[in-house]
Amino acid sequence: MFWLIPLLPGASAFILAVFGKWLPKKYVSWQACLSVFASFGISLVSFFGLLKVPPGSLPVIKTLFHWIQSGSFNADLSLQLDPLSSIMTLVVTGVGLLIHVYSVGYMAHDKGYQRYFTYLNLFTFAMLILVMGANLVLMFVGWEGVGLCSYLLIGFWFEKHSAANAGKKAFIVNRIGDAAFILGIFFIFLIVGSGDFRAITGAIEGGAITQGMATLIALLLFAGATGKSAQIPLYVWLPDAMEGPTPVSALIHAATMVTAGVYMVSRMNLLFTLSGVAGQVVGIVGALTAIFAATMALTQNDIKRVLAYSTISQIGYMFIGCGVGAYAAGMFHLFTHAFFKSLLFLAAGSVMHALSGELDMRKMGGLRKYLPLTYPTFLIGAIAIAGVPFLSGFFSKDAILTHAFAQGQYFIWALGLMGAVLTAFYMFRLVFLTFFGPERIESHAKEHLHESPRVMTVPLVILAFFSIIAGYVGLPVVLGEKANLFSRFLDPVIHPGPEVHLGISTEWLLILVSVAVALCGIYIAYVFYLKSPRTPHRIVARFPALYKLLYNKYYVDEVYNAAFVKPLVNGSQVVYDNFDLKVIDGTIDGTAAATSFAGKVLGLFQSGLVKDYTLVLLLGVVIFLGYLLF
Amino acid sequence: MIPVGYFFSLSIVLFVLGIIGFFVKRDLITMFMAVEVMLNAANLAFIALAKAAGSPAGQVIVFFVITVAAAEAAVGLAIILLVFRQKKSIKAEDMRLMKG
Amino acid sequence: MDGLASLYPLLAVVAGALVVLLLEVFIKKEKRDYLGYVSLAFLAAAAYLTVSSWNRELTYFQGTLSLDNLAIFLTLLFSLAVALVILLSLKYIGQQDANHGEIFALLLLALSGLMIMTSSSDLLVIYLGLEVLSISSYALAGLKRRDEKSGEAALKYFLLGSFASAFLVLGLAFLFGAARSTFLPEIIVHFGTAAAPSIMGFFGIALILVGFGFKVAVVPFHMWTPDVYEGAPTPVTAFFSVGPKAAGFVVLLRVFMNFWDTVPSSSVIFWALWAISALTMVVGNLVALRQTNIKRILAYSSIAHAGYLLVAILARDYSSLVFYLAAYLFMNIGAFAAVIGLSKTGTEYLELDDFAGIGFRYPWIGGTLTIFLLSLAGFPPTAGFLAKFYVFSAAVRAGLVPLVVIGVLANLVSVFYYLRIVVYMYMREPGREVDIEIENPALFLVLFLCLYGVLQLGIFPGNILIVIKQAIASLPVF
Repeated sequence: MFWLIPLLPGASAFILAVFGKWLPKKYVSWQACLSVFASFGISLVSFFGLLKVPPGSLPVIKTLFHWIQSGSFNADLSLQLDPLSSIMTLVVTGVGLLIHVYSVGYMAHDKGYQRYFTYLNLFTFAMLILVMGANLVLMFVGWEGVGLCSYLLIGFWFEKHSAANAGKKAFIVNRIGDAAFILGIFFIFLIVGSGDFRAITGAIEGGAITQGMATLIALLLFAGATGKSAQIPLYVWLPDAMEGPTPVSALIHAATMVTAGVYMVSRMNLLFTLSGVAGQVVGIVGALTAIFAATMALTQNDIKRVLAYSTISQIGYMFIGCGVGAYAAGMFHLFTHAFFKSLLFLAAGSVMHALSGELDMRKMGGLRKYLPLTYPTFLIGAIAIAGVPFLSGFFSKDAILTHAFAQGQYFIWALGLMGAVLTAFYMFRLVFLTFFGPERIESHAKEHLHESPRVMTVPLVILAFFSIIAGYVGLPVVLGEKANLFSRFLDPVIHPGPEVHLGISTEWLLILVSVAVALCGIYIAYVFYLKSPRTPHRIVARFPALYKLLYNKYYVDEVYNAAFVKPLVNGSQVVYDNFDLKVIDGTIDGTAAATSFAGKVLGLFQSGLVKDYTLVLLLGVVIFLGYLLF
Repeated sequence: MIPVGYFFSLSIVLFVLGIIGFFVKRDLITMFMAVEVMLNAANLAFIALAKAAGSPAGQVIVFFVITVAAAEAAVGLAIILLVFRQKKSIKAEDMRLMKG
Repeated sequence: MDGLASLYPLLAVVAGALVVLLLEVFIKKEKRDYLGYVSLAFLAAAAYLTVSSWNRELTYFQGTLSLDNLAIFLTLLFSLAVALVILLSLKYIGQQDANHGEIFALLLLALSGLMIMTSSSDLLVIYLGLEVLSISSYALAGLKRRDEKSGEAALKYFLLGSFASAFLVLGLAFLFGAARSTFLPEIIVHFGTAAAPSIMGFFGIALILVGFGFKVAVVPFHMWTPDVYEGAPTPVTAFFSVGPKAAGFVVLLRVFMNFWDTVPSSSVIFWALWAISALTMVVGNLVALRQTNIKRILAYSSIAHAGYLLVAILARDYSSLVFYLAAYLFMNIGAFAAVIGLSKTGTEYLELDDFAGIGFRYPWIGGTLTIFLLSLAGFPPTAGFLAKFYVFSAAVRAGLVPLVVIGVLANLVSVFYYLRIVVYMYMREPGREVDIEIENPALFLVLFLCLYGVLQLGIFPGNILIVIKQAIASLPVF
């Protein structure tokens, strides 16, 4: 049954693609949402069914058909259900469902309504294929599919130049990562002979892959992950991707697509563990990205940009978890992050909707009076992400940091801790600037100020609820070995990392430090933006260069442009003018002209005279007979 | 007795003459006459070979061929007549409406 | 097994022809198409009689007329072809000044010639059938009595045809002289057991090949084809492109089926045929590139297809040959049907420029013609693709890789001139006013039947292939 999970949204996407133009809006909404709802239902059922399956017979595989059989290269269309994929399907379909419903309200007045839901369903389909594929080929198909949908949805309002460019940028940067990804897949095929995950596991356990090889492959795969999951150095597309509709940002660029890299690394965890170096690289890149992105979030004035950098930063945390061997912790953070990050995005969308499209925080303020549902849910999301105890973010972030510390990765742990301060700070900066303080709203926006319709606020409430309770499935080990349900659930897939042997007191200490750090960040934000709002300006005045650097995102985009983009474009132009036009086109046109000329010459024989025709016939006879004689 | 080989050679010579005649002549009727010469040369070859092989079947075949040639001639001459009515000429060079 | 029943289909057809000729005297000018219906009735009878002889291996005339399975299959194919052509000509003869009921009689007589050619293994009988076919064809070509092009076509066909058949008779004489018989199996056996290869025998084979090469239009015996196809009335052209070609190849099939293996130094003939095939594919496709008259384009196309068919003979895969003939029937007659559709009283629109914009103005004609052209070019999922695929893959299996390469390249060239028509139909602005009269239900029937044939053979060829294989299997092998 579980193989229906991707197919239902896929079928819906197909129907909408072909017939969408002629279908009424109401029908489109119902079909799109129902297909995801059905998918979610089946995911739930499958999840519970999975609990009953003994670990030895995992994963459960369903082969739909034999797709490629070329020589010794086999790739089947097989979907698999195991704890890892089950969690992912629940996240994708659950959060996806809420976002589909939210979109009904958000996109209600858009003229591309049907197109939007076609793409959204298509994305859901591709993402599900990605997480349910039983072999690398199928996963890659889903990988590319979500990339395509991301491009389509970022550039959804394609008449806007900035949106079209953002879509292009996302696709191209992703492609760079994918090139490395494909290479990694090739190597795996070379050594293991198949892309099937069970086969790969078998090969690793059987020692077929050397440590050096594993490092190479793992690094290549991770390079692909940096593209898809927006880590250093390929993160530059994600902030620009905010040009797309906000629900898209919530679904794709917060909860699901960008987490595909984390899923992939977790899926291939044996490989990364085998190569110690790759794991280390993953951890360091994750940590650096976490802090790097957090610093950039400090200065942004656009709500969605702040959230975008926040996402980049949080994914960095997930990779920290994977890098230190705590894959379960990384996945756990993915799980909780899906809830509160999408909540934050949707709530931001609600704010925008209320303010007729305003995004700049400098033109907001004091909104908590006017948005009685959006404000509290947003606040809950912010508290969760800051890592305040008893909400989900606390449990997952803490798990990662604890594991990092336990593995002796103090540098990473320290970076993570600093990132936590920054996270709390910039999130509450956002909250205070938007919902508190003096009102700086423009008049025409103020006229239409209203809370969003129920179809938008109900998902917010649901997500807020989960942002609170989702953490309780992964209680810290401190409270008992059996407490971490999440991690135990993933055991069959993720070979448990080295045991976390910290003393109880160390553990509690670490927890306290995390909490303290979070509360610190919140307090500083309070001071900066509520108590003495002149403070930020004074600091900017004191360190203008630093501020400029952060505000311009360290000029990374400009550097990339000058170092890579421009030379490539100019070089291509040169090659095009000299080689493509002259040599290649010349050859092809030349061949065509020669053929046509030959035809003309031969046609001259057909003179119209009977005698000439008979002459040719006779010549044929003579030659034939002559040839026979000899 | 005249050796069979002579008949055979004669038939080949006649055949070649017919071919030459086809090419040399300019009007349709004589061109067709040349073809008839070729056909009858072939008939002669048949007879000669039949005699050489000692099988009368070959000579009977000649009757078939003659009949066919006659039918062909009937239709062919009718066609030549048709063409003459259309173009008022029976010179082969005038028949070049279609070419290329 | 001796049986008069083997003669019935032939008798039905000839009787039909005679009846039509008789009726023609009495029928009014406007009602000429009733003659068409009468001939269709006789055709149906003949078809029925043919089918009931399946697997019965009937022979007559001391075995010279043998209605074996292959003959039955081909007879049905030919009957279908002639039926389609008759349907096409019902309206055509009235519109295009060819209003003679004789067309139906001549078509039936030509059909009888085809049937005789394919139901025999005796070269004399085959020759007779060939001549019946040819003479009817000469008359058919000139049926538009006031059209100079038609008369010229008939003349050229006649002159060149009789020239070629003289060679054929000479070849027959040589073969007879060498093998003392005109019965093919005996001839082959003679060649096989002869101590030394006889020059006369091989000359005989060569000349026979000249004669049949003329009929199926391979290079260098093809020069008549473009002019005759262009000048003859279009339904007749449709018939020419399918009937004589298929019959000629069936004869070649019977001749060569046992030739390669039993006759020593048959490789001489093999390489000669190889050269002819290669030349035909190349020349046919190249000259077609420059043509603008659609009937000439289709003429050169049929020359090229003869080249592909020769490859099948060289590859010794005879079931693919017959399959190709069946597919070729549908796509060619279909294409000509679409061309016929593009006409009104007194005018036929045959130039490329006339096709501009047709695809949108007359979507049915444009659409079906596109599919037929795609099939001729060999695109999946049409019959043309499968047919070429079978032939070429058989050739590759037989080791004829260079020939296949030439064939594929030539095919590539052909895609241009086929698709150029499609481009004109859909992507060019109409220049002249092209008004056609579309009230022709028989034409659309033909279009759809051919469309069905092309798609059925292209997607589910299984059943037909089984029948063909059974037909081939019934031929004697030694």
